[in-house]
Amino acid sequence: MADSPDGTRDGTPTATNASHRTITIDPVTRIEGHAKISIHLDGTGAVETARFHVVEFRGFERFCEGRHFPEMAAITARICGICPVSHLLAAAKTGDKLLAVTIPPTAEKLRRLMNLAQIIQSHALSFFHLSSPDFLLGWDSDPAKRNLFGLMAADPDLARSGIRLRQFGQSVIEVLGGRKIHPAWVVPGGVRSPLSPAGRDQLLAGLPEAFAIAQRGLALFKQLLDTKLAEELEVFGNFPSLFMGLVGADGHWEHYGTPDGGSAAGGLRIMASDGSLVADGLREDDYASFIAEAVEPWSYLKFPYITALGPMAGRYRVGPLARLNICKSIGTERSDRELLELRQRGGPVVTASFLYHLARLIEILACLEQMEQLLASPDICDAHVRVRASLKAHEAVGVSEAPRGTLFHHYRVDGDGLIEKVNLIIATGQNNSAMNRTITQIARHYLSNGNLSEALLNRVEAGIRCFDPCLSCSTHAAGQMPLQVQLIGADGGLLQERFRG
Amino acid sequence: MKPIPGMKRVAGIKPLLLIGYGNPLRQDDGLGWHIAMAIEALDLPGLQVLAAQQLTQELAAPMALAEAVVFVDAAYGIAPLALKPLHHNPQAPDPGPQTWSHQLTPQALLMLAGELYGHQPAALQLLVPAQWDGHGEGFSPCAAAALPTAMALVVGWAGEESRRA
Repeated sequence: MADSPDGTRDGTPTATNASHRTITIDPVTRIEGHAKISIHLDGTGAVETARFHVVEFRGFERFCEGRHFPEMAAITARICGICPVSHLLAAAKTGDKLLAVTIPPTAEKLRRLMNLAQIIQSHALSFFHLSSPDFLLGWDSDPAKRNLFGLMAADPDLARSGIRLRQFGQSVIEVLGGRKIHPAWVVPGGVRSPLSPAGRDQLLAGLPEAFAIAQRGLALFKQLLDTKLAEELEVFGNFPSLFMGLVGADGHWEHYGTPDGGSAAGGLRIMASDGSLVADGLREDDYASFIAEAVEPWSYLKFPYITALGPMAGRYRVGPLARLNICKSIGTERSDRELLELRQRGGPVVTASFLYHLARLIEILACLEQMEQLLASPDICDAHVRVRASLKAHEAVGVSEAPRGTLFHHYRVDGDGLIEKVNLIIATGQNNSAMNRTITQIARHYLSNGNLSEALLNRVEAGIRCFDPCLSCSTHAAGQMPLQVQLIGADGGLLQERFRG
Repeated sequence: MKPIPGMKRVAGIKPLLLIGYGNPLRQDDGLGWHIAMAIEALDLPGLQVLAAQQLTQELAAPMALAEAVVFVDAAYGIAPLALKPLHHNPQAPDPGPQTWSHQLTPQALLMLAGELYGHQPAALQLLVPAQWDGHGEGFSPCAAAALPTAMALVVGWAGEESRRA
């Protein structure tokens, strides 16, 4: 019997007769946005499937219609308060193509700097503040204390370190763009202003402390993996799948994208769990020919897959672990040592989703090393950072690697450059199938006799947090709800309900 | 508001802090963000302004350097418009893990500032009445009507605090 994209065996809802029960966790805590998890039991009380429901609709595509395309960077950057730079870059790169321009080399370096800073600050939040309480305080600790405050009490230095790393990443964004959030500094054609020598020196001065924090995080997490997190490697989403992301020239780790794609220059790469290349040198312009999206009635989030392989075999993962799996090497000394160790720990192609956490820490180190290299470039303060042009094309696709994975922006514009159609393929959506498979695997392993232990619920939630999903923090005013756990009979009746918080 | 006993000024650090937050593409939800941007343009003496889409952990660091902070946010179904003291009560029930995430509460930030950095500033909150939270720019009539008063309250607070200092 084939699995459906969400991890069920036959793809149909399971709670359709009286012998089935549903456990709902609503909302999932410590991820971006609002979602819930339901665990579906079969007639014997065993877990049939688990589902990650995204219940908030992202309506930004329609909102963008009619806007002038150069505005898209600033508009889409406001989709998310945690990773605005990701949309900013993808939008600007799409704009570059509509103008048919090649941006100045220094402008590309500055854009890269900003993306590296974005990845650092986003990964720092995910590891130090959202996930480390689980690792340090234990799955069975009081959920009211297994959070940032609990971490603060147990290891205040670690809590401060996370904040310092986020501050460093955001200071880079601020020095470059003038604002921490929604920097409209990245524009089609390049960037608005160059980096000053004083700004460069300020950023260089922050690197040693950031390196030290990253190394401390790596040492801490590797120690935990060696001593008390072995089971999580096997149970938290360990399964074969495809992995997709950008690679640079010669297959090196890439986060921004190479100018022309193509196998020699890099581009999008799809790799199977056995290390075989499914596709290489793919261009983002052709994404619609190799990515399709399945839809399930119980979630607003779609289920992308590689078209040629179908919804099951074509399931893939993106993000930090995918980027490290598909690359030949990172290209910098310290992070390449860590990459080697990751592969010794998890195999040539790492299939354990729990190692997304380690991948984030390695990427923080890689980002810092690449920042160091970029800031040492002789032309990093060059004044020529923007080219101006008129509209040359009416349709374009831009791509970049967001902290959580590959991000596509696809615009169609009219003769005046006004947006007629927008399609955004976000990283979290591309990990949707993997998140559902992960929580199904966890629930099957830990749930027995319908016992809704706190430890089980914590682990299911933590399975989702491996992917650090971003579900569009489109409004902060909603979602201040307690954790709700429901056991619902097939007839719709509420069998059991628990709240947390 | 009285200056905090024992608080040492750090050279170059402004003693007052305004944090306005919300999503500017979700209509009234962005009230706090817009007010922060407008106040920043006034360049009021002694006032540092931060506009954010949501409250995140690192905001605790600048808070710990301030003598007083005001949080400006949209609020649905809440009136009247006024600056109100914001207290963190360590004896209060834990607000739960969902509030310790990507988006924190002002109270949580106050606690972080105190516990991690050793200083909790005096805090006020300004909740601006809101009605609309759909995708888009522009405010509801209710929010638009409240904006001038909200701005005046913040400007008045900053002026009074500066005179006291």
